[in-house]
Amino acid sequence: MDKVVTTPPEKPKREGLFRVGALLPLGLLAAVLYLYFLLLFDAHARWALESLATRAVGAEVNIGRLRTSFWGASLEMGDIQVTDADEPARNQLQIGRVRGQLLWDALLRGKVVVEEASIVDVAIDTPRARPGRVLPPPPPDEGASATDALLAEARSRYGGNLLGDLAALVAGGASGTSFDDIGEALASAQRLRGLEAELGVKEQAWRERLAALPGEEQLSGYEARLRQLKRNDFRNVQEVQRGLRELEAIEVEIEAAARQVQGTGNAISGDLQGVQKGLGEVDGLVQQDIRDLGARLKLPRLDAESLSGLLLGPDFADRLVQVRGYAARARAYLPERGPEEKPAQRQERERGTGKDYAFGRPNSYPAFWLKRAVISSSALGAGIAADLEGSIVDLASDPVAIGRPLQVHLKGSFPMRGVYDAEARLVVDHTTPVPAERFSLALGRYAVGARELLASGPNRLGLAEARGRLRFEAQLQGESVDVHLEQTLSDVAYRIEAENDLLREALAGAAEEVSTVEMRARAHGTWSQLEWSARSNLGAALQRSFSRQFQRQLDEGRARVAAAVNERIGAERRRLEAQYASLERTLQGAVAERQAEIKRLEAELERGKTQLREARQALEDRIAAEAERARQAQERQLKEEADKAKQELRKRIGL
Amino acid sequence: MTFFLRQVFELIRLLHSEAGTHQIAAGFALGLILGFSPAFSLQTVVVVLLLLMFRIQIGAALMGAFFFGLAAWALDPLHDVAGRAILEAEALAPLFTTLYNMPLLPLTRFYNSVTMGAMVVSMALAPAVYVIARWLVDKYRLTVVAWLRSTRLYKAMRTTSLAKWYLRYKELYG
Repeated sequence: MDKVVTTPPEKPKREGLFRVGALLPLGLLAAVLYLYFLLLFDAHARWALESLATRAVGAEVNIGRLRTSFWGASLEMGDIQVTDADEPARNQLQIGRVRGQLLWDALLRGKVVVEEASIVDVAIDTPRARPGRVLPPPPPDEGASATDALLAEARSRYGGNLLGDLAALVAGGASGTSFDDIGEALASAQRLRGLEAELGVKEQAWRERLAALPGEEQLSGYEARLRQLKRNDFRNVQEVQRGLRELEAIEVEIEAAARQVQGTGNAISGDLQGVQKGLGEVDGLVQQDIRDLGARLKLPRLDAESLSGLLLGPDFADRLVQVRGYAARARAYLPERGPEEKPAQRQERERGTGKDYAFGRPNSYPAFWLKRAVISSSALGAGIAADLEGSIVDLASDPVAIGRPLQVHLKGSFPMRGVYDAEARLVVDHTTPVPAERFSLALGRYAVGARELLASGPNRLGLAEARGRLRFEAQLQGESVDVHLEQTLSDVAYRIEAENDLLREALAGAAEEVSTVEMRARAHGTWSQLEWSARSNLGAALQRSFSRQFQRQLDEGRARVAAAVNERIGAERRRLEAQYASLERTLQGAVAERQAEIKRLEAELERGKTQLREARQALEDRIAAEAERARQAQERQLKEEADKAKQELRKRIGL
Repeated sequence: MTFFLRQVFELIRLLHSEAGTHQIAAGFALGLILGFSPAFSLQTVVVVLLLLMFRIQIGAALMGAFFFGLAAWALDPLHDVAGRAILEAEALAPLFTTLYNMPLLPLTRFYNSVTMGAMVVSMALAPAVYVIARWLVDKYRLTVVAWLRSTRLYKAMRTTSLAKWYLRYKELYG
């Protein structure tokens, strides 16, 4: 018999709580992570930083090399190139090397805090190996429209074709201009037509209101009722009271009529004043028409400020637009404190998914904080274009959290660009309820190359070369702006081109007078409403020179324009003024007549009231006297009767 | 990839065995937290470490993370509302300020409304998912697996040489 061998069922292997077998995948994961950080992380970080910076600047930003150290918590970047958006083949800025030491304490909190950084080998306006990519401009928003408005304002103020207009004036181009077709275009003529139509409509309304006023018949009726009223020979007080009541009823009706006349008079006076104001505005429009037609005749304005504006304005406007752009960017990237926010309060910002809340407190780390960066650059280095030193202090993503403003200071020279003794300071203070930015730039000495000051076609006034000194200051606080520019150009060599001798002589005369050009410009107010001013000794010299040469032609031109305007609207204006005067007389006369009649009735009413009151008083006095007499008679009678009774009693008792 | 596929096959194997109910349920519960968390966050790292260190069914966690991740994506607007309500609660502001300024904890991105909402919802639902997963696994074994084993096809396949070879291989190498 075969022995049946049975194997006992295998006891399942008991497994522990920990997964020992996972040590290998865990180690593998750690190794993969280590290799990623060793080989790929720097490249990915460089790509991410390039993308972020390109979006922030609006033009391609390249980072030549980037090296991070995990254990050392450090970052080093080299050959950073920022494309010039206006000239993509060149760099606006090139930095040789940036090195920063990060704080582990902050990294553990998910923040990037750079304790100390160094920025070396700075150059500006360097050529690029290939043109950089320029991002399309962002969709227009409030800031962009304000910038457009700013540019439009600058263009309208400082635009023009001064030299061309002067050349045409000398050539007699203006004398042939005809003004036959100006009738419809004149603003003053349009206003006069409007006023005429308005006056026609109002006249109808006024006449209707006058017709609704109490007429002569109504007022005569009041007078007749007043006359019929009994004023003396009253028999009793009741009769007087009846008279007074009738008088009061007439008074109420006269008062209503007086109010109606007064209201109509006031309304008509107000309307007449409006029409008169409109007629007064015509004077201003006439002046405007004369200016507009002067522009059509190309009569240039030759005051010193306009000429200074033409010289300095376009350049100044460009700088203002730059300032606005940088300020808008600073406010977008460095959020300011809200007007009612307390220092340690929460801040929020929208994100694509959800909302990030920042529970910062004073002296806590913001998401990014560059505590201090030292900038140094030597012009002696190979290919280095700047001899520069400076610092960036407290560049933070949340200035309110650190409670300190961003401060940038740069000082140095750019010998390859011919710029020496340059100093720039920037303070961006977004720690206060109203954000403030201050920027100043001083260039001690810089070479000015060929530059045009005034140009119209073949007519040009420009600089061949000069030595410049510049001071530029911009202060922004909330919506208010104050920007100054002072520029001095010495050792000036002018370049003059003109199509006729008279213009050439005028330009040469001004140039000879001014060997050192001083220009000052200021814009202040708000971005939407800026007050501009510009002054320059070259502008004043041009004014004098142009006035000497062109005053006669200008005066003749202006006289022609004024005559044309007056000819077009003079008759219409006189007719309207006469119509207005006639209406004023008629209307105010009618109202005054009614008012006089009502005054007379009121006086009569008052007289009647006085008479009736006196009559009532007399009657009351008479009644009182009669009552007194009756009382005395009664007293006497009672006394006599009492005496008589007393006598009777004495007789009876025998006294 | 092989590791992850192996984990999924292991899940199927465990479902058809008599053991590992708790591991599978715990895997689904952690998968819920994983699916509701941002990919790059401290809590994801912690959950992954837990999965690797403890004997929790990784396949279940991965499948859970995938399906709960889809649900989380659809529920993000609700998470956003819940997160905002929590983060804007005045009473909790001092706590959040402390957490925000502590080391490591900001790496959870708890200060984001969607993350906070999803985190709270996943933490609240994780025990329920664990219990429900256990019940479902038991039910699956009692009904689906039992039915599968009673089918002719299954019985026929068990007699094939390939199945015998597999069972022998499993016996020898596990």
